[in-house]
Amino acid sequence: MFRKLITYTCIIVCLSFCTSCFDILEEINLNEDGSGNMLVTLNMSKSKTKLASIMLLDSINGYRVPSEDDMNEAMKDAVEYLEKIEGISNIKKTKDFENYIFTVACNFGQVDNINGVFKELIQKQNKKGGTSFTTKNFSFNSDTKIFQRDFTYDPSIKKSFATLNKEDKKIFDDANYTAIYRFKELVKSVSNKNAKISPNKKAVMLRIDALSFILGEKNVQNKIQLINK
Amino acid sequence: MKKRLLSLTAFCFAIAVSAQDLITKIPSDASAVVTIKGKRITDLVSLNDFSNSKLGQMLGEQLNKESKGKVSNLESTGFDLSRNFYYFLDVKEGVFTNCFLMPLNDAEGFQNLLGEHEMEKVVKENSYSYFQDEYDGTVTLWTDNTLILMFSKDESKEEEDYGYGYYPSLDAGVAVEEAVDSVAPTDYNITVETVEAPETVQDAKDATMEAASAAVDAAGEAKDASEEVVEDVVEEESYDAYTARLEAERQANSEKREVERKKREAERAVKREKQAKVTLAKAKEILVGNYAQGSILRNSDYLKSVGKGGEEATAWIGDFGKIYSQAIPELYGLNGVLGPYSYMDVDKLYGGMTMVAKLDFEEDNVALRTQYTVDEQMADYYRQMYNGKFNSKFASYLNEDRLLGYWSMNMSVEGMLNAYPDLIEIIFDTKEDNMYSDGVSIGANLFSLLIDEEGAAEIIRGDALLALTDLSERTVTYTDYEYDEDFNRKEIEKTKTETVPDFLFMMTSEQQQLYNKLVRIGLREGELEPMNGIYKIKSVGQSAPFDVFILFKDDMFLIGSSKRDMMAIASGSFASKLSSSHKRKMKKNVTSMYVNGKKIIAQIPLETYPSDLRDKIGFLTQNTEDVYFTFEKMKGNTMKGEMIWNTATTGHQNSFDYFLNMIEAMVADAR
Repeated sequence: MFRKLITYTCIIVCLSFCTSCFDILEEINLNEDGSGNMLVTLNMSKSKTKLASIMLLDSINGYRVPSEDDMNEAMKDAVEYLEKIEGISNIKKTKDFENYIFTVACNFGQVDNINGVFKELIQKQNKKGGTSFTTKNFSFNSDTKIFQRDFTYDPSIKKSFATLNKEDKKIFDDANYTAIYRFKELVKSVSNKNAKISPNKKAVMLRIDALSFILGEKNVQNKIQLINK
Repeated sequence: MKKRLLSLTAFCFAIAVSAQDLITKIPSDASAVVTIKGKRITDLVSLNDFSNSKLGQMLGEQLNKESKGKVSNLESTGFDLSRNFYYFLDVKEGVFTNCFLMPLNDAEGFQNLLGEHEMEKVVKENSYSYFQDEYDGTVTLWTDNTLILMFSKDESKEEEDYGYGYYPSLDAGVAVEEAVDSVAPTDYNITVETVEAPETVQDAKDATMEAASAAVDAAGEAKDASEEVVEDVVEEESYDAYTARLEAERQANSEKREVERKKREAERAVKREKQAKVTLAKAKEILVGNYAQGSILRNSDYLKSVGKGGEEATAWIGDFGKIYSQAIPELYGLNGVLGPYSYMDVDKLYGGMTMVAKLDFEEDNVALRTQYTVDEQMADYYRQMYNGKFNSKFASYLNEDRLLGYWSMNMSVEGMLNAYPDLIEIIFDTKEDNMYSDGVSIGANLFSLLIDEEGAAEIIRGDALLALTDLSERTVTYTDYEYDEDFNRKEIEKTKTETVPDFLFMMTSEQQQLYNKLVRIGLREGELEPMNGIYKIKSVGQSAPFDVFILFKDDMFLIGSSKRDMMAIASGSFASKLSSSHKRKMKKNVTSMYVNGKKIIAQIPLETYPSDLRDKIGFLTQNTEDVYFTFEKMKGNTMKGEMIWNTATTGHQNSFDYFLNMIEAMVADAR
């Protein structure tokens, strides 16, 4: 009883005082032939104090808190799922429960293979939530040398967000999404006004905050025109 | 002599209350009474001030909207806010009657609050008007100066709506038929030549073979039955005839169920109508208030409990045992043959237990005081449990200048271990032949024999203190990324400060030897790290945002998160500071709690508040004071609890005004 009392008292205070935020990084290195590798990183390091507190609880705000074992299992499932997707190889995962940083990396034979990664997930979401997210989010035309990141904003994101309580909304206050695409060829132009081309013209970075994305103010959609050699 | 004094008190009280006071309409045997003293409240904040406040304006807008412009503020609702408002609960033969008594000074004002649909149902009789809800029988009855809102429910009978009685009973034949149906083939393409079991049956058999043996037996029987039926059907009926027969049976069952449903519904309607008539008659009786046994003002227990203090609201519950015993439905409810309370004598726990609570808005605080009275036997158990001795040395390790709050406990583990077996035994001793009574008795006796109460109390005496001693800033590192000119990622370590609480938990224990042994094990297993007389629990710091240190000193076991404080305690250099008021609260009470509201509000970093509250922090800091909660030791058969919420006086007429101002400040931007 005493242990629980002490634990809960301190956790409640920590949860009240510590901030929460996270970063999602999507990196793609594209070869000239359309193959390449992809690295997705979830970095929750800035919230590690709060997460360490949350991990001591069974549930928070009505949501069950997954254990380390649950997360290990989920990552294992993700890797097993990726292994079955055509064109995806060399899958690697890292997990750091001290800093709460998790990564999944893989090679792909052609850009279209990446769509296979998210296709099933998006289809499920569309069916369940009545949304209309596109299942084809990445494409590369080797003739026109256009790399395209597609995304259709669905207002249901905003609606779902509005249903969250204040505490849950706070999680997105300082959350960011960063996409970096690196190419062998030079970049001629980008369609997304929030995207930046690197000085060496071989990379594009798009960084947007989660709230702007959720509210539909900024989009990850981008059409990158490479220069034909 | 005592009785005469009580009678005299009752008489004086009765004289003191105005003849107009609605308390005379509450029967003397009411089980619970709640009073809200309108005059006391309007003396704290005038109606005019309230109507001009934001809360009053919001209420006015709502009333205006609901009444289609007929009522625009609290004054025009017709309620006489300078008189007392009452609620009482009457429990008789399992019927719970809830009644609200509200004084009116303008019946027309009240009628303006009613909707058209309600006004259409109004019946006028003699000097009163009323209407009654068709479904639940709620009565709204009023005269020129009194409003009665009343509803009742019969809790003594099984509620058939959702009980087992809802479903028609299944005889053995029906059960077999259903079992057969459940494994019957879905493919009905049956011919005379086809005699082997269809695939689905075979599959069912295969599946059940893998299940537990009991399930296999059951499935086997069901399968046999299905095969017999299938063969019979095959020999005697064609597929069309078979399905037609099933459809006819289904239709017949459906019609039968519908007839039974209508019958039940009609029975319920009759019951509701009967109850509604009883409720209406009772409401009229209450309006007259001419009880043979007199009003609640003749109830000496009530008068003695509520007294004639100047509080703004009181709540009194006469006998918990009576309410509990009548609240639990007899047959299928919790107290029924299938319910857990059938094995317990609830009356032993709650019989004769009364409670009174008083809410008092003072100039600089609001107080909620409660008092429980229990019967002699329960009082004896509680006395044993609460007969704790508080360790005065706990106070030596607190510093009030930094203290954010505490929770103290003053129990007796020895007393608890002595009392619990007896308590459990008498609760389960229902004097009836139930399977648990003797078992529980043996278990309780064995527990008592096996446990060394004194020995256990040497390990944990029962007095303890948990304190939030400070909020400290801790530098934490986190991983971020930097990108070079070509957007190549590089991991970097950044730091930020976060506010984490410092806590200290102390409890009395005479078993230092046990502590020493545990420490030796901890050191050997690498779980503990020695630090100048204290030990750090290594695993906690890795998984929690704070470190945890332990120490045993002067028959006290201490756990704390502040290394500085723990080391100072170990070395005897801790600078303590605690007022005698706090020390007294900890020592005299079974439990006491303190929250230093002002300090907590001031120390929480601004950015951690919700954004819409940040600009109000200044107001909150200026106006938040301390909160105390205490629960006294047993005195005779009585236990008293008290919650005091201190309120700021600057800018507030009194504590009631303070809360209105707080609400006003918090909702200022929400409108």
